Amino acid sequence: MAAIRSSLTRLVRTPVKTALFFLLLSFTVALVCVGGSLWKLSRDNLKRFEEIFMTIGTVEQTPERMEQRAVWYANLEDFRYFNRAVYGETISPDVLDFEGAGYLSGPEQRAYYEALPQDYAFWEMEGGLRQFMVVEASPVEDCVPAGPVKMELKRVLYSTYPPNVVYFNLCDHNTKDPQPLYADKTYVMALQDGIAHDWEENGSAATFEYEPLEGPFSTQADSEGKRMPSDLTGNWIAEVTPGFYESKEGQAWLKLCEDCVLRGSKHYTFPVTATEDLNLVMAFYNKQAYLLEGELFSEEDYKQGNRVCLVSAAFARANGFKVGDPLHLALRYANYAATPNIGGGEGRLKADGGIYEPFEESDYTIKGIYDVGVGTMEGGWGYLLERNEVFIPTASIKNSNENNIALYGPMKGYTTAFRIPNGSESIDHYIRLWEAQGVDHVEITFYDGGYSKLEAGLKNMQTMSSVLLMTGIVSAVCIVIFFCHLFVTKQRKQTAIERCLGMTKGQCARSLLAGVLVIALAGSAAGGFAGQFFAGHAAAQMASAETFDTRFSNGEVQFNAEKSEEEMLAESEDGNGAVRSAYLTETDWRMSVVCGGLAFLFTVGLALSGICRNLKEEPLKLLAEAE
Amino acid sequence: MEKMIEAVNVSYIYQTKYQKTKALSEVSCSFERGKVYAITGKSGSGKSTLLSLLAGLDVPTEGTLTVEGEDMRRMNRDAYRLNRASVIYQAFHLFPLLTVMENVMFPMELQHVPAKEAKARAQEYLAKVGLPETLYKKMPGMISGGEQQRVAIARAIAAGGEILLADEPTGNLDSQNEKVIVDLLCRLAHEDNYAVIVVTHNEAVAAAADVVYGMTDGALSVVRG
Repeated sequence: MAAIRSSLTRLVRTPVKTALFFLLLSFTVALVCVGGSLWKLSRDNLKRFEEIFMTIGTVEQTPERMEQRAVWYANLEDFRYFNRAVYGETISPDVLDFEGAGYLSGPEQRAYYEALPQDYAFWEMEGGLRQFMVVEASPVEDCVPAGPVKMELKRVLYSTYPPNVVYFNLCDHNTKDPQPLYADKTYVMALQDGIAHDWEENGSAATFEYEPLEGPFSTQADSEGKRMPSDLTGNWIAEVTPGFYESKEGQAWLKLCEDCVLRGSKHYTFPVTATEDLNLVMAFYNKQAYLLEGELFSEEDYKQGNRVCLVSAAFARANGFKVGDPLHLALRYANYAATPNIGGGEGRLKADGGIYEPFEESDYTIKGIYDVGVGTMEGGWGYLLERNEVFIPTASIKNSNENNIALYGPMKGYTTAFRIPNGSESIDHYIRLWEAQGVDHVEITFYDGGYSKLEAGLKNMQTMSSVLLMTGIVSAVCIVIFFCHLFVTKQRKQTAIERCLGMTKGQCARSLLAGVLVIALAGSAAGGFAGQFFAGHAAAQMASAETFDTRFSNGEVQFNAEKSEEEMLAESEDGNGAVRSAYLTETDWRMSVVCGGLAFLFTVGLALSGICRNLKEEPLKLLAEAE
Repeated sequence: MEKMIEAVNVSYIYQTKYQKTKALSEVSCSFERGKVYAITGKSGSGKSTLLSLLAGLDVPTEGTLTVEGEDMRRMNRDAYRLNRASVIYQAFHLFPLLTVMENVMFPMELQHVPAKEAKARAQEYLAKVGLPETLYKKMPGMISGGEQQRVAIARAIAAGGEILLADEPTGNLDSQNEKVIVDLLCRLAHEDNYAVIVVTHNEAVAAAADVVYGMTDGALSVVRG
């Protein structure tokens, strides 16, 4: 006790040295704590954002040129002109498979599949079901259907609902000089309810007319996406001659009707989109589509190809589906060129004139029900989801679709995407590698939800905190070494006197260590507290300087393009409109404890090492040297 | 008179990584209570080494050193220095951050003497060495060299030992203070029965000693017995 007491007395009697050591140690420990805490905080924030954000790239084959296409409008007696993209040879998504790309998922050019409607109910389009029919008819008199001509209905091969008429008006609306029709001949034709020819003049009193639809044709592609040759012309009309339906052309008309029958009374097949990662579907990526019930697909679902599906809320409501219910999917054909919301474009028959029979048929379990926010999305209609669209993992389709590809087309942003690790470095790296591939006419657009911007800020903070941390550590080490030199090494003479006065080595060690311990403990503790305080303050400043509301990212707030951000927030479940920062601002007190503790232990360790050296000296010799 | 300390054929070798140096060579001598011993010799002759062994800071490489018949190798040498033998130095070696009084109280605190008693005894010892009371609360650096040496002697005797070892105790003092210190040491030997062993170059100090040893190249001889 005497040794410790005299040590503390000596400490008190060198107030400047003691205070300086205390203050400098506190300051440097605080620096280390601030640096360490902010570094950890920025690392935690980056990790958190890594979980919140994801980076996807959408891929689009760009057209070689644009072409103007003239379309005749019989009612206007004039052409209307439309721009049409002309693509060169379709580029395979295989060009995206290059070394070092580092995909987390994809790249995939998604197909959507037409599934047989079974007995399911569907959300119906506004205005009700359109009439589509394949009929045999003859003109009442010889005519050219450049305007409405009167036709006599002879036979209905297929109709979405019975026409209940004997005569109807027909106009080959989009052909400038249509072929003449003869009263003594019968024609088979594909028709749909069209607009009234004189709609603009007479409004609702206008004469209702039918207009042509494409006849039997095929856009079937092989497994490499190449269009398969076919004799089917797609003509909307053909003359029915004796034995016509035994001919190849007549058979094709009958197959077209068979296809219509497969589509059921509503002439509808519902779309099933297969994906390797729902996040590659833009509507899910930007949370316009969000989970209402159940779960999204798991990694295992994607890998194992579990037969699970997500259905839209509209489809689920129409059929009273709940999560866990089965859904029978009979997939007929794939369309790689469009999304269900754009749809169409594909010929209904195979290249050989046959119909597409389901190539994959099985029961799926509804794993989740999603809903879609209101409004449009940047990029156009292709990015929106169809109201009855069903999603399944790609690997759940066990049979090959190679004989059932009804349409293949260039990669589009809404069909082709991949996911790579977050961060501007990752994007830059990818772009460098991609540019080295030298592929023309393919454009890649990256979406990261603002991660790069946040990442840049956090990395700056991490760099700054690293500098603080290193400065703090170096300063702390220098200060501890310097003061241990003053408090221990320079006290060799004192140790020698104490030894000569009969103090044991242990007592001498305690005598020297007591003072250092007190200052080191006080300095480390004070530094730790100060560091915790300033780190918290700095973190709060950072969070208030930049805010980011995660409620949009995690789907808590439903996206509605027609409403302002404030209105959307107000409508959310906890909608008090307050913006919550996504930044973690809570500094970890353990960091201060660790920093303070390490500084304390380092000081004690260094002091002990100095004390051991002091005690090795021969006291009398040392005192003689001092003289 | 009974021998307080006895050295028989004591040798001491300083051993470093590269060389061995024989500092003491078969030294035999003895020290009794109530006498002042002076050990003289040139620098490097081994005087301080002998003093170091006598203070129990090390043990002889060869030979035996006994204190009242007890072998130095087997005794608790820390306790020996604390309770029986004290050393004073040419440079006084007081604790600069303790007051005069605290310096003198220090060995007693190590012996767990209650603070009150330690203080009373410290005052007594300081009075004995003739230090004015006004200096008790001063720091060592604020008093003269002679006064500091008197404080050092007071601290040495405060432990209550019977052996007083002094290494050039007057080396830093003027002649007036030198005389005071020499008188004080003689008084402690003759009146208080201390065995006082002084290593010195100073002829006046040697002249005041009862027995004078001379050291040459580690060997000890009696100059005046």
